[in-house]
Amino acid sequence: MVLKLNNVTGGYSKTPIIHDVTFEVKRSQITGLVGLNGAGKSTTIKHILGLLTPHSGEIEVSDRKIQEDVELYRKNIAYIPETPILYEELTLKEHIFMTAMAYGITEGEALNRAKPLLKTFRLDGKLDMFPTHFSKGMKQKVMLICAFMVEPDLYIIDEPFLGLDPLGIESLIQLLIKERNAGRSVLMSTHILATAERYCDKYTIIHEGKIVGDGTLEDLRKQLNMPDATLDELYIEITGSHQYE
Amino acid sequence: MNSKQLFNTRLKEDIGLRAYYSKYIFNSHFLLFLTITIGVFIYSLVGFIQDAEPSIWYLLIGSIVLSLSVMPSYRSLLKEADGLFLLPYESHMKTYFQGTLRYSLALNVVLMVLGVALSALLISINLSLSHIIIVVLAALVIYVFHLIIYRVAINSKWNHWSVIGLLFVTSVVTLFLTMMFPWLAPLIPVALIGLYIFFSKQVHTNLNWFRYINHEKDARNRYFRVVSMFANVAHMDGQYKRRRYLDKLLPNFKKDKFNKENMYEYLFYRSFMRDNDLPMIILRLIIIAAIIMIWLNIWWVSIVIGVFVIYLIVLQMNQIYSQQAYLLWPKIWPVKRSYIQESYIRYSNKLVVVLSLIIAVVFILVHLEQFYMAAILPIWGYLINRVLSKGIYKKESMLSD
Repeated sequence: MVLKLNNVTGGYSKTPIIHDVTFEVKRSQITGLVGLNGAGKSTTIKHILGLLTPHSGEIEVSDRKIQEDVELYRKNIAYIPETPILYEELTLKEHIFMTAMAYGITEGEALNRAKPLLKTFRLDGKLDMFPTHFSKGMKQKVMLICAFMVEPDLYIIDEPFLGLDPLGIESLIQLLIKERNAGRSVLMSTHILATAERYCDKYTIIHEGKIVGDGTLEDLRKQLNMPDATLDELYIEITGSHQYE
Repeated sequence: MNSKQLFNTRLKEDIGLRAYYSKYIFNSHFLLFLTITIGVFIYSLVGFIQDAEPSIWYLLIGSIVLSLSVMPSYRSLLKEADGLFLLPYESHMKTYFQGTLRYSLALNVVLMVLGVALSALLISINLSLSHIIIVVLAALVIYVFHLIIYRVAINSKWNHWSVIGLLFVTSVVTLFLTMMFPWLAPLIPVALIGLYIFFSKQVHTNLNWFRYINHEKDARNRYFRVVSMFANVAHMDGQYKRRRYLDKLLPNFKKDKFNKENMYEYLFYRSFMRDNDLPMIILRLIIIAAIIMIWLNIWWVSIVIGVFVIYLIVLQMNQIYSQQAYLLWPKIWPVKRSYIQESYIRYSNKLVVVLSLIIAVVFILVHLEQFYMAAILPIWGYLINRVLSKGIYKKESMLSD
């Protein structure tokens, strides 16, 4: 198991935002963490990253808890935030080098790994530029390159399609599939369900801080007895959002 | 909320901000330094004036100093969202803008008075007291008119530097002529009214919110840049700039040094070299220190100035640590947080010692006989860096989870 959350309750203050969150991400699996704005997706991710400490419950990444060895725990994770967070003073190449140094990758290996990614996202030739001068989509691509260069056990991607152009979205989807085939796992939060439905192996549906559905599309259809339902329809049924229509 | 209440809210906010940063700027060390420097400066200037013979050059320098001190600095206190939310309220903003004009006049009064006093001392070599009073009154009229003209010009096609350049040149010429021919003084308001009419005819029909807001943003940033010499300022815009010619000085870690132990040192050097202001502020501080050392030529005053400038440099450099330590990535990357501190210690010690040595060399060149006293400067640099750095590490560990 690459990621395991067991009865995690937590939040920013003493008042919990997520309650008894339990789910798993297996090796070679793309899991969509699905929920409305404010459902608790980002809070869950922050707990997994160790940016927030759970009030109760346990989190394991590649069978290791953060308390055991924070460095080894984080070495197995690459994170792509919803909004690109870049160093204003570093060029694209220097961002790649900083990430490489942080994850113990040599300079040569970093460039070897980055080269195809730069080509995929059409950023080759921009290595000596400051990414802060890039467009929002290009900045997001820098984040993707730095993360995919690491080749960790688990990718955590917060709203991956925001700001990307259609070519960028397609490249990202292909890359996610490639990484999954290479034995790596992905947890991505999204509320763009139609896109998620195309390539996620499993969905964890979070609503008002609680897990209200967890499984493959088929599992969810069976549970709800809606054999031909789309993910959108299942989501509305599970969360009871139709009541508000 | 009406226009007056809006102005009062913004005024209160700006005064609060200035009061907050003033605590850091005018700390006891700086006040001590100011007292010593200004005291010694006035003492030597008065001595110089007593011995000097009248010359037209003093009038020219006096008119330049006077013109610099009456240059307008307008603060509209507008915010980005105002361009959207206040747009329908534009016709009711008269009271607001009148308030900002009065506030801007008051804000620059201290610098203006200092400039006027300094140039009055300088032109007293040539002019009588009554003549000096005429020049000072002319300068005050220019000060008020400049601000009114400048505010109008923001809403025209003229760019900032063209307006400032024009006002500066006309001010130098009119003040210099007034020093030469005091009977010309009554013509100054007439010329300024002419200038006002000239700009008024070129303003946009409606308020150009975009220009006013950008102007305010620039003015705010300039203020923060001054404050950043003494304290950490959060969220300054355009903080970094690529200087390709400095890239050669940046260390590129290879093989055994290309690792997590050194990655923050790699980052700190880049943060320093590419900071929009920091290298230039440090260069300016060293140049100012050198000028004062040469001008005053008193060895113990030079040591005080050197010590103070090094203190300012170390304070400046500490900002880089704070900026990096609180970012997201150090909390995500699989790197011990202690590496940030260790890297900062290596980087800052090297840089502070090099900069202290430059100041020490200036000291030796000015005071060859007391050359051995220059040793104080790098030692002080090293020690003050240790003390101030420990303060920020402590603050960081207190704020960390």
